[in-house]
Amino acid sequence: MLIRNVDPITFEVLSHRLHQITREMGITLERTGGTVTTTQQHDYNASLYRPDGEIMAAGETYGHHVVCAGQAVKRILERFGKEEIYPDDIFLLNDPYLAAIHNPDVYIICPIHHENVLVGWSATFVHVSDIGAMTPGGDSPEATEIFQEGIRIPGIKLVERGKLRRDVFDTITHMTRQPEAVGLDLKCEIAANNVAKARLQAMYEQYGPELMNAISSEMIQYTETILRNRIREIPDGVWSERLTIEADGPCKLTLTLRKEGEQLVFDFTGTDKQVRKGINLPFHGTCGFCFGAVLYSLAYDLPKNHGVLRPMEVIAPKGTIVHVQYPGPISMSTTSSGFGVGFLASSVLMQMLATSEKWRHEIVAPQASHRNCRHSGVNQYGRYCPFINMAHGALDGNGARVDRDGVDSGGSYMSVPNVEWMELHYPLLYLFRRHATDSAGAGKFRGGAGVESAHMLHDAPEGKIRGVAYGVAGLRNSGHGMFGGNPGAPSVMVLLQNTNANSLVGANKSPVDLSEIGGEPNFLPYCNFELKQNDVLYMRVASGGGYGDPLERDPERVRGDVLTGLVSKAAAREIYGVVLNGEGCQVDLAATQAQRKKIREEELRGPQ
Amino acid sequence: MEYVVGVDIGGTFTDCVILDSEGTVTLGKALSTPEDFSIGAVDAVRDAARYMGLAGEGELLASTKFFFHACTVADNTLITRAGPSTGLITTKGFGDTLLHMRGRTTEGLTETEAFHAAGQSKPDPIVRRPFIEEVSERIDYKGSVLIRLDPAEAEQAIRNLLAKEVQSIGVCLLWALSNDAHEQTIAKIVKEKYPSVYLTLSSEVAPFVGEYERTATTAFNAYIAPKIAAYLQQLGAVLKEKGLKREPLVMQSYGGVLRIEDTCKNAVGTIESGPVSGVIGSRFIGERIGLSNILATDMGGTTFKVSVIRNGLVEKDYKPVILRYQIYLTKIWVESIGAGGGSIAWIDPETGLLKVGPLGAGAYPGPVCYGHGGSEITVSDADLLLGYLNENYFLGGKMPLYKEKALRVLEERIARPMGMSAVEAASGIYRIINSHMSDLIRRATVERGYDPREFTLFAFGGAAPAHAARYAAELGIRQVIVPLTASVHGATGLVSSDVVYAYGKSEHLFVPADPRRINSHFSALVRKAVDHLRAAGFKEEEMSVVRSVDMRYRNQVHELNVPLKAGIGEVSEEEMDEVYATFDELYEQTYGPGAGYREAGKEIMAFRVLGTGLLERPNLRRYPLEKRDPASALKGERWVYFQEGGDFAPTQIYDFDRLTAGSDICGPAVIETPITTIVVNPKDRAFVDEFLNVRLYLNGA
Repeated sequence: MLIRNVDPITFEVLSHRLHQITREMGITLERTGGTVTTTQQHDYNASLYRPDGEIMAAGETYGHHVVCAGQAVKRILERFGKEEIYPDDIFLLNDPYLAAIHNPDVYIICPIHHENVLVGWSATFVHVSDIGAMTPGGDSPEATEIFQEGIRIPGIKLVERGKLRRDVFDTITHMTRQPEAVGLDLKCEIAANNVAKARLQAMYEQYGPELMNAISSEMIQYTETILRNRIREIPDGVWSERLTIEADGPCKLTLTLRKEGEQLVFDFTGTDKQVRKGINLPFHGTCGFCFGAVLYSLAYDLPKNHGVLRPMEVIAPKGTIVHVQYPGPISMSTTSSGFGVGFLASSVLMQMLATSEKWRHEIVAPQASHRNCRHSGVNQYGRYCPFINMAHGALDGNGARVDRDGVDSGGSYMSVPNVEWMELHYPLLYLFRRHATDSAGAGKFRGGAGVESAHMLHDAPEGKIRGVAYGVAGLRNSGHGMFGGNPGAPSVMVLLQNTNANSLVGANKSPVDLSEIGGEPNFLPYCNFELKQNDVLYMRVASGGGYGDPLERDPERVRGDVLTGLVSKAAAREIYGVVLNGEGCQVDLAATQAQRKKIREEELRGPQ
Repeated sequence: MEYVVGVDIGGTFTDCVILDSEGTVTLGKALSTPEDFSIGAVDAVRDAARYMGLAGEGELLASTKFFFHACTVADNTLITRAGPSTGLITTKGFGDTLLHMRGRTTEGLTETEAFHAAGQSKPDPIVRRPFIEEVSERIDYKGSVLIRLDPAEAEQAIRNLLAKEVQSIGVCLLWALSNDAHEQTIAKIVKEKYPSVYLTLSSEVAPFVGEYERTATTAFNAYIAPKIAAYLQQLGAVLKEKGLKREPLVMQSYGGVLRIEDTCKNAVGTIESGPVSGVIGSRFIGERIGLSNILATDMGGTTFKVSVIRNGLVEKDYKPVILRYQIYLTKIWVESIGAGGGSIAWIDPETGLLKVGPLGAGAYPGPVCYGHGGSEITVSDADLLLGYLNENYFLGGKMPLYKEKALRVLEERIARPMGMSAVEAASGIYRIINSHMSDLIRRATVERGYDPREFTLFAFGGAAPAHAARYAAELGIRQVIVPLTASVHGATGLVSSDVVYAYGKSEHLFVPADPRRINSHFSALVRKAVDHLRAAGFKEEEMSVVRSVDMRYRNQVHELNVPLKAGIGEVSEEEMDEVYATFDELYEQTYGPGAGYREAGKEIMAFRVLGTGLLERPNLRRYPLEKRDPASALKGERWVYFQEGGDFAPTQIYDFDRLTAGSDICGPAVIETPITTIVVNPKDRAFVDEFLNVRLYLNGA
């Protein structure tokens, strides 16, 4: 029996209840937040911690922030000491050198007392609209050190003994470009923490501190024990993966996973030195992304808590991209090296799972994805605003599985706003948003198709807005194939200058064809740019990698993909070796066999 | 004698409630007939007529003043994907909107499903990609036409779909809510040249911002409409032939009824209208007995549902999740989980923990104790082994239960592997399922800023009365009511409903908004509602019109619906100021004190009007309260388990049919009715009120 000090039925009842609290925190953030990443993208944290900062219950949110917010609790404990932490205080911290990942991710941390004894913490983060960095919105490609990346708070009381400190609140919002929006962001975090406090206190009231304390430590023990059992069943081994991010030059990230007994060691030795561009990641962030990768593959069905971290060890040499030293810049870390680490960790774990008959059905072809841009400027109502172009930034296709295709535009854990929602608030017109043909990584099971979209200015009073390009820049920034599957099409962001888009509209034609839209293409690395009249920003997000040999794909499935427009007839023939005839695209079985044989022979001969 | 008839078609049974002019209630039941639901509907009416001693359903229908109806045709069509071949026309470049579903699609999944990376999927599309046509056209957020729709291109798109033998077409163009000219162009072509095709326009069924939800609503409507129309026309004809004089009125998901013609125009409005009728029934019973804060809970075989009535008003949802799609539909808010009498108890092989649900054993073979070959222990098996259910009086004795079989399987599959006694295992199952249900009620109340202790809980569905006192007590609720009509609850709601037209329209306005815009929206919507009410035969004094706005702080995504004061006159700036202040109050009430942030500014996102044609409320017969010794209703004694004593204790069993209004019973006790079993726990008291509802007062309340 895994549960020792609590009866198993009470355990089941109360662990479920704790999880409900984190769920309610998340809903509060989504409903009351003022930033699209919070309200529509699930980019937030909503978790409960034990008095010492160990994770008690992680919400249905990103794993990396769960770890970092726990780190934030520890920092607050160090800075203030228990004697200066009062019931109904609420703290704020966003210093990436202490606990956060980058400055715009503002942590709000709330001690929870029962009868004046500290019994736990709740913590949230949201990516606020602006943080006073050199670039609006926070991601600053031109920053060379942390001081250019916005305000940095090591821990401050935002609420003292239940009273909002207006001076502190106003000081913080005052240092940003959008005080009202940031105010709403901070308010939603306060609301979510208040919810957590009220609910956890009610549980302490109802069940008493002894049982409650026992439950949370039993839950951690429970998750740890099961996870260790699962790891032990998998053969020992060593797996590695690497990824290059194109900053000013190529930056190499490498990871080796050593699995020994019931321990997972993630070793980043060999990763390049930190650079003077904000793609560096703090060490706790690196740990957090590894935690997330383990959570979603081996522990998705367990109570999400500190037990997941216990069998894990992370080694990341100081002064590298994955363990930045002060005062290196970090503002673009989450979506570059952060997602890079997430990819590496997930890739080595998938390789590991492939060695286990029991676990190989949990494989999802990994993805090194995410490219997006954030605009800023005056909108059609004359208001200045920084905003993220989330209309397509998260419609990537997911990786293929052992026995199934990846989900088209599955968006990992994100969802995107409607085009109409974006156009209502910002001075943009979208030209298309559609699955990109032939983007999905081919395979016996193909990856999910990613989405391509394009937008231009519309009703922009200044005739231009700014943009900043971020994410994982590099040629392999998409889904990776496994066991013979092809990679997904790379994720790209292209600024088309001086296009025909407006003339096409004037001529009553829909600008949906890139060859008609024309213009001078500029592939955007990490950079600031301007979107002007007659410019079009084209984006294609990542697609899933394939699983297994495309020549083994059922020809009827290929036919289905051609009919839905996800695969072209040419790709069906060239990559899948499937020959389709006539209007109805009937599979020509004999021709298909011949074509597949031919492709095999060419593969064996190698390039001529 | 005149009658009011309510017929509610469910998945298994069709229920019927008849009220005569004196308020006497008669119930009828028949098996549902999915091949033609109207057969089951008539069967149920006939069943009731027989109880009433009438010659047949014809005699009853000929004297029927109102015939109310709720059906599952929409839900069935969607779940079994039984709709006709359906096509969709969208703006060029945006044909994949319905397939994208805005990316992440974990709505409607359990937490474990949502986090299972390798298990992700999207639901089968309602309209498959080859049946989606794109047309060149573009309108912007202001409603200005940027690219004109060429009628020839539109006609080609229609013809392409017809070539694929499409019977129903939905049209959803970007910003059609701001300017419907292009959708109307397509409508004109269809009406003139292809009049047999069912047509749905997004600007008519869901004139709200957000192309994914609007497209999904349009597609759902296009897919359902032909089936709904065919069914309702058939039903109308059959009933007319049998002597019904006025046409039937059909329940809508927002909790009012409409005529067949109006229902067919907006078929999507009938989704989940059955459960919704139950909520209306709760409100009705609440009105009769003077309760305005009610938690309506329904525990059947597979699902547990909760909805909230607060200050006499039902809670609504404007963007419900239906089969994992989000659609724009004004629907009474019902939250549900997989928990019921059929929920399966199991041991997690890896962790050794006892779990209950969410999977259920279904109606057949069902629980082990049914003796139909079920091999999984369910909640009903635990209820039987704990002594709550009577093996010889289940469904009034129509169905024997097999206690020994259940005990043997419980020991083998649960108790022994867990190292527990059989009674520990059974009471553990009982406790876990109750905590799942109280968690859902907590979600429905505490999470929305309501204190559950201010509510009375209603227990519907066959399994609820054996559990309700426990899941209510967990939340500090002090009174549980098992209504007399608990078994035909949806049908009860039907006979108490009004004719309601619900209309809405998006426009984005910053606060303070120009009163002219506000009044122009409201007057258009009010006119539409009043015209329809008048056409349905209502006089001014029989109408009630409620206006409201959806508001939020700037740049938020979720809105709160804020009602205006009663009336249909011009709205003044002062009145709107009050509405804005009400928003701040509602916001803090919902999200906690200090959550509001006026500095952010506010915006209005949509205008809504609810036009009600008030129908006469039926009477319910009152019985005189008599202080009589309930001992005359005692049918015996058996050993029943109660957690307070941690063991079985001899417990008195009462026959509900022999209890009279005013009967008072102290727990522990069990009251058996022909349709359900009410468990009265040791510190609780049961009282039969003047309408023959059983009220449980918990913990000495």
